[in-house]
Amino acid sequence: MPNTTILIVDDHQIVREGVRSLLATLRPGWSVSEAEDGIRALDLAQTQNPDVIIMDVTMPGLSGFDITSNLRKKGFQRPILLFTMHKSDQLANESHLAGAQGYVLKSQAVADLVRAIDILLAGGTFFGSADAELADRPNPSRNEPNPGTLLRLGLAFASAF
Amino acid sequence: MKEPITTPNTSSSSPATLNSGPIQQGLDQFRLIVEGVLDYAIFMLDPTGHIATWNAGAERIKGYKASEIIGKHFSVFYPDQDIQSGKPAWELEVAQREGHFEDEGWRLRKDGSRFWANVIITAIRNREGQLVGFGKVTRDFSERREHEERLRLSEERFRLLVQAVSDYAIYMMDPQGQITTWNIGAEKIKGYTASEIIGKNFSVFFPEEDVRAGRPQEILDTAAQIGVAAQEGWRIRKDGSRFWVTSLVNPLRDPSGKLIGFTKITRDITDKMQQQERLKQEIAEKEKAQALLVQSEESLRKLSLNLLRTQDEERKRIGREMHDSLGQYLSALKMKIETLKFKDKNLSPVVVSELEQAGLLLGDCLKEVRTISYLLYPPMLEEMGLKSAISWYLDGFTQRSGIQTKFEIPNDFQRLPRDIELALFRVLQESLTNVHKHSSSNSVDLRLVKSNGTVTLEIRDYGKGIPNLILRQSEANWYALLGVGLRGMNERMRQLGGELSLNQANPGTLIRATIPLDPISSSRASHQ
Repeated sequence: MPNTTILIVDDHQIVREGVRSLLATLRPGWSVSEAEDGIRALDLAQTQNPDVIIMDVTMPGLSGFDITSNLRKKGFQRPILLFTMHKSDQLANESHLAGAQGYVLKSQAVADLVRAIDILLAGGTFFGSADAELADRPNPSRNEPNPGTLLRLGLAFASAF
Repeated sequence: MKEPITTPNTSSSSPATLNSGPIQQGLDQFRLIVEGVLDYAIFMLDPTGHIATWNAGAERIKGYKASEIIGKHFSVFYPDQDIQSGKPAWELEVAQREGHFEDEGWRLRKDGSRFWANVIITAIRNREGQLVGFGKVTRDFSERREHEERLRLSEERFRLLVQAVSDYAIYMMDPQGQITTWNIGAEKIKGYTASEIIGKNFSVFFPEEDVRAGRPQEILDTAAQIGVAAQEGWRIRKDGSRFWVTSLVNPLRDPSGKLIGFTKITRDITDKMQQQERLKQEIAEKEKAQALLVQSEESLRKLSLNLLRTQDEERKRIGREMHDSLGQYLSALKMKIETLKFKDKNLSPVVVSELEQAGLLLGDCLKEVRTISYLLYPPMLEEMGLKSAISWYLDGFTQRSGIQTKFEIPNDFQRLPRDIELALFRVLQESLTNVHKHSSSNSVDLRLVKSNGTVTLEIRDYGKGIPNLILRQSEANWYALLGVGLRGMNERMRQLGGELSLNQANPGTLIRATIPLDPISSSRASHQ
């Protein structure tokens, strides 16, 4: 799809650059624009009507969920993919309810992002990223707590009160 | 003075020579009466005091038969000391001179025993005025005297008793309030001796303002009207010092009901009152100390709440910084590293492999950052609420600890005020950490419910339970023994008006946190 347009919404410039670079490498023909907050995102979504929006979740002001719901209310029908640091089945579920078609972890960007966008462009959904990380590499702490992790948890608890 | 009785022919004629007729008949009857009287000894003495006649009463009272005593001198009835002092002769002399003599005194019976006699001796003269003898009437007043003596002794004892009472001022007043008697207690309490105070009005004991207000008279009026006047108040001693008393005034009435005076009993309770005063003062001081304690506890609680809030804020800030800043940089870095192999197809396999390793390390790094930042402050707690945050936390907890969790929550469970959500989340975190560290339980059941304006979080494990040592402590103190974690939880609950309870569940432990939902703060939170 040589004329595919992508809108990246993220408050961190370095992330927007990273995604732009990734897409430029893997899908050189796509046209990419950026928004650093919710207001700009709503504006660009309406004026440019991008094929897919890649949306950060946690941002100052409107969150990715807020913007997604807002866009859906305004009649924006193109796929939205939430792109986040938060790894949670619950969040993936919530993002689906908010009107998103995809959920990709930032840590899985190279492995999942382009794949997810392709699926969304084809009319599908992608919410597998949360599990993908676990499958990515055997996690020793899954069955047997990692002593280092537990020590840090303990410290976190001890300092909690 | 009574006229001496005159009788015709007493000395000159024997009864047999008396003329018969109505007079003689009357005299005979009279003699019979006299002879038969038992309660009076009635007999005649000749002018020298020798006994001339004797009746049944005389025999009964004095013990002599007529044959034994007639002709003897009447002084046999007198005790020795009376005879030595010439009393019998003196009595006859008085009777002779004045016609009549009356006396009460000790006399002797035939057996030598004494009796208390009332004696009337009357001189008897003939028509010419010549003394012909004496009539003597004696009554035995021993019983009456004994009774009177007993009464006197009893009254005396009572008087002495009242006199000797030293803890109470007991005195009598006339109807106008003039003091008529005075006891030791009165002297001790009020400082006046009997001679100083008897005859004065009892109003001298009252402070000037009471006297001006007519208080003393008021007391007497009350006592006279209703039978008693009880008061408490300040009185003045002789030396002018004040003392606090309770006192009772009762009216005294004669048999006809006429007011003849008042009795007054007064007790000095200054010491008692001072003690009460001291006690009151002590209580006031203790209450003040108590209030200070409560106040300092309150400020301690506020301080600890502030600490908790500051800590929450700081953790939130650090968590966010890690997640939203460090995390983003790491994500971007990972993207760049992983994209390199696509950018340059000519990279050597060694470099590609190293880049892949670096990408994996960055992935681990990101996971650590995420975990630590989430535990510091779960981002979804703020964004999506307690329900999502707990579900997320339980996923991670099970992964880290291997402990299975079951979370029961109503489908329609809405958002709660932020501070309540955070408090409950922290209770959950702390409780699950305790379960993991101490309980050896394989599973945990959690329940979050809203009912009757409160929200309750229950955390039940199936492990070892709470040590008995802690359970034996009073409920108010148990959390003090459980270290800062539970204390912090308890403090959070208290600050929100809620409660934290720790219960033995057999097996295991049930922790229950309950917080009332304030409609104002709920609506505020939902608009944030």
